[in-house]
Amino acid sequence: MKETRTTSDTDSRGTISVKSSRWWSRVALWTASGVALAGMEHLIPSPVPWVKLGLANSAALVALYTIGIPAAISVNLLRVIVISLLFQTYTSPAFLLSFSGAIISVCVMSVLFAVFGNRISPIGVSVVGAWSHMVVQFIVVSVVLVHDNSLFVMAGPSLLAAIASGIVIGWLCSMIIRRLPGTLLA
Amino acid sequence: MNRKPVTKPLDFLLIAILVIASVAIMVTSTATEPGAQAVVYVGGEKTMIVPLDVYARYEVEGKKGLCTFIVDEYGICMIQSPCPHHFCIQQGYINMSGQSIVCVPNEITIRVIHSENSSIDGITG
Repeated sequence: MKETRTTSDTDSRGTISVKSSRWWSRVALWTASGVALAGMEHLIPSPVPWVKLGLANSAALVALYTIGIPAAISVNLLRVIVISLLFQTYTSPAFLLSFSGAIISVCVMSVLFAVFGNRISPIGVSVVGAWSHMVVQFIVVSVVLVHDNSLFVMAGPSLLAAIASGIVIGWLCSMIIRRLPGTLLA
Repeated sequence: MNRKPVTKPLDFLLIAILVIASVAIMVTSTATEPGAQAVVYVGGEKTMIVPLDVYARYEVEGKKGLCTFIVDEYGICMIQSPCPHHFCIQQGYINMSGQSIVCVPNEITIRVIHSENSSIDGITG
């Protein structure tokens, strides 16, 4: 087989095509990183209820910047499913929370990335992702558990905390993306 | 090595918009009036109504086990729960109308209301 890397599974711009095994291995890599980070985060006690650093989201953010939109969505989806199997939360409302939050935030981040491209840095994308994740959680809890909007009383501080953690994670991701060796990039 | 600044002007614009939106949500929904009663929901079903002027200790059966909460001079507070993170307990006392304690794993919600048939529900709900 005389298969060369650049012609077999990348298009003219150097983006890995979705069907290639290279694409799948990259998705698997970042999904595994996301699961590991989520597990790590599980061990860190949270100072305030609802507030998490969102380390796991950084895997999807790096995938978004280095591989592409379908990869980022796959990474986040697979991560939530794997975590729910690991911690056996797939029947609880907590799964619904993390699932909806992960889906919506990665979709919002993908749209921002697609619309603004190089005019926006990972920091901006991450902040909007974290913020939308928090909003979705409040909406889901209000609809599924509380049945009204009384919970939004507590939303303000959590949303500000989400912005702060989004900045931290975005900065971390921009460092990772900049320093990754070329072999790990698309 | 790439020495360009990491951030772009659009980042600051987005962050500013989100900060303003968060503060707006906070300001418009802040509870100011002390409540008179608390409603306890289990899995979305209203199961108990508790007066806030009677100091007592209550137990409620959730999806995962028994939750214990108390009512005293500071308000209402969860003190025992079978959930893994105890966010509901960390939340401490609530006493303002509209505030709530939510225990997601146990599917218990305690919500402070003005009184049973308050007109506020008609506006916000």
